[in-house]
Amino acid sequence: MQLGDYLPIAVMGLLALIFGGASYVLSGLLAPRKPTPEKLQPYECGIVPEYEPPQRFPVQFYLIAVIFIAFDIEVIFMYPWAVRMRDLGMFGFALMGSFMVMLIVPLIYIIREGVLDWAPRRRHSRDELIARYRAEHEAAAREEAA
Amino acid sequence: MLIADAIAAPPSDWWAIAPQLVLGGTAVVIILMICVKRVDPGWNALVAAVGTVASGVFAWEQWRQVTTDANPRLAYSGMIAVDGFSAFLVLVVCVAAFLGVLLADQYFKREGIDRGEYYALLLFSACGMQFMAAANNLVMVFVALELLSICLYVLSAWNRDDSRSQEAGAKYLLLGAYSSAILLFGIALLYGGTGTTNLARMAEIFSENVTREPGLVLLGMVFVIVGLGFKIAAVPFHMWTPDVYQGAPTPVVGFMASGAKIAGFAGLFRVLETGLAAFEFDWQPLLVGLAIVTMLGGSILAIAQRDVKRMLAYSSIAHAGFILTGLASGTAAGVRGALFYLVAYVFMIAGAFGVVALLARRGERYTSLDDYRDMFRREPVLATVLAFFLFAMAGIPGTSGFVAKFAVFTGVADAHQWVLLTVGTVASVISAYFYLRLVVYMYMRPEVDEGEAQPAALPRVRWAPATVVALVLTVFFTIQLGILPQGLLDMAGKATLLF
Amino acid sequence: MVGPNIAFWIIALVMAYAGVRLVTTRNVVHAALYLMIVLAGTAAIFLLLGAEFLGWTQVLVYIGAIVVLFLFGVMLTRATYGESKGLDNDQRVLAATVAVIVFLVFAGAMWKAFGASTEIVLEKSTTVSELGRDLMTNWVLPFEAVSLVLLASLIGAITLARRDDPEHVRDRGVER
Repeated sequence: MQLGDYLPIAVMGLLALIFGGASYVLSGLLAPRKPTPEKLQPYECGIVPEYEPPQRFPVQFYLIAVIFIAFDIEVIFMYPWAVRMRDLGMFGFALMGSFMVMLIVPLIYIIREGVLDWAPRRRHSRDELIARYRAEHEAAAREEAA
Repeated sequence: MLIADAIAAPPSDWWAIAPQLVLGGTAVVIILMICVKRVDPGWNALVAAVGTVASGVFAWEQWRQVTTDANPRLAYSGMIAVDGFSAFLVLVVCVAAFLGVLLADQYFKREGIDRGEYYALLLFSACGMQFMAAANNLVMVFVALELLSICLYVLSAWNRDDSRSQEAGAKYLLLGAYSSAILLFGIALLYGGTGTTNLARMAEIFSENVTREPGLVLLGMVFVIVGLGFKIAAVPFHMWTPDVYQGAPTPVVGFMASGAKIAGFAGLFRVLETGLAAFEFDWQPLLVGLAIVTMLGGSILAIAQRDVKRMLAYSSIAHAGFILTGLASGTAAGVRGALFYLVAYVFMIAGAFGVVALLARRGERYTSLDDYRDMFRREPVLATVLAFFLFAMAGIPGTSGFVAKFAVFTGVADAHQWVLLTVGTVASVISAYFYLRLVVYMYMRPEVDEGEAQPAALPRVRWAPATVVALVLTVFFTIQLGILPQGLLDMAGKATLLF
Repeated sequence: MVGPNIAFWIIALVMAYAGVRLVTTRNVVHAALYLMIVLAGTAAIFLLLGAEFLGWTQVLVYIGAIVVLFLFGVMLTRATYGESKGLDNDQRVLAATVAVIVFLVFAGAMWKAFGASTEIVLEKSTTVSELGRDLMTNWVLPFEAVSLVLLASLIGAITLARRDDPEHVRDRGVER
């Protein structure tokens, strides 16, 4: 691929830049502006937060990003192989296969460890919960009686 | 544009990577065992130990083939070398990993963080160290270094609920990544100067004297030395060592202090002795300077430490200096001594940290020098074992430490580097001071201020079979290498590089 | 070949500016975005040199994933929105001096080695096809070793970042 082939991309990038810049400048010039502290909040609705939350995001987001990076890199390694897949034949397939198996192992691990389970895990069956509730209830009743 | 022609499969040489394959495979098996949740976690350590032994058997077979049939070779397009040097160090890595597994079992059960992933990561790390020991290509050096370091970053932060461990992990990660980047810069410069990353090929290019850019090569050499200097914790690249060794879980430190140093030295030896042999007159003075400041810095700074783990960290820095001395001498005897020193060091440091892990008790509370007062009365066996390791590290005759120092200094004397020899001797004397001080502390009665209650007696240390095996092994080999060192010295002498 | 030279200078100046702003800005999110500009500039230079695969890899991995990870990190931790104090290190003068010296040494060595050629010369650019062949023949071992690195780092990241689930720990028969 010659460098000249990138010309359309460069032109498109330039157009995008012009469009974005123009929108920004024009909206700044044309729009009425009456800022209030509330309006400048990151989220301009709902209850005004009184303090910074201890953790803004669940750590799962981070884990998903890490997992994404690893598999992103895997896909990138697949690309040169895919271009020559036919020439490389079975041994190339075997090599790529072993590479992928090495990343399927952590995938199994991820699933088994529940990293991808976002909902709170259901830890007890319904009957267990009812039994526990009853036990607590009875204990409280006994305490009251005593 | 597609080039339509079939590509022949590269020849595979399973023997060349058998030890690494076994370790990596064992680690994968452990992860799969974790996935099958019904498997009892006690099996993880056992499987890991068996894996390291199996890997060691393969490494021994490699060693036997390479030294008897005299067919050292390059494998996988020159990515790795199968020679005496690689087989020797691969074997030592197996020993370090085996000790690491044995010492970990009891400790992590005690701390309540016994998880199988630990053993998997330890084995992956050891696998990286073995690749490093055999690497004959700078790209391989880098990939191996990343494999071993990433695992070690995680392992040093293993005790997530302990802020010291978190700090250790974060510091090690930041400085380790930084040093990796410096190493990578060096590799890029060496590639820019020679057009190859293959170390054997690089040596050929220099011997043909068609170097295009000696300036780039020299700069690259400095960067590589700095990058690997971080890994072996040579002064002035040692800043992370005390904090990481103090904060990380003690068995991890035992493994890290032995394994990462083996790998770092393997990389340094291979790059300098094989790839940049033609520049010996350039790198030798650098190494001499590095060895001098490392020996002195480690020994002197250790005196100021009031924490035993920190003190041992500085002691490991000083040891790195002694090992560097062997390489800096530039003689065969020096390299032989350095290799012997590495083996002796692995046993001493693993054993010492093993005892410290036991004495620190749950939560690693008792690691300060004052906690060791009166240790001989409270824990006579452990105190004796620790004192023995301290004597060995100080280089008392009859222990492996003495033979190791003697072997290294023989090489230095051969090269008539009297400055290095003098500094080495002085540093040995200085380091003896703080080792013996700890022994004295263990004899002393506890200091009790008047009006203060006698400190409550600590619970007796309990022994697990794996720990006993590890300590017996380390003590045995430290004595054995001290009394009958000839076998290992011969091995180290045969562990020469391919080129 | 004047076009690539002009393009190089534009990219290089933008990168240098973004690099300086990256370490001087007091807003962590802005710093991450400046980092993105630097990385994008690197990708553009790779493209300029004919290393297309590398360039797009840079875009995919660094801009697409690493910077996003940085932003996640900022959001996960208690970094404040907007400007934050204490981002400056006391040793920044020393650090800047070291950086300048390293730059001069590098630039000197590069100039000495390649100073004669002032134009970007595309001698031979490696195609993805050649890369595919080399990856599977000469570079098999590092290639497979990388899979181990990815595997180990995934396991490590998950064990460290996963929240502790008491029930889960009990499942493994570990007593706290």
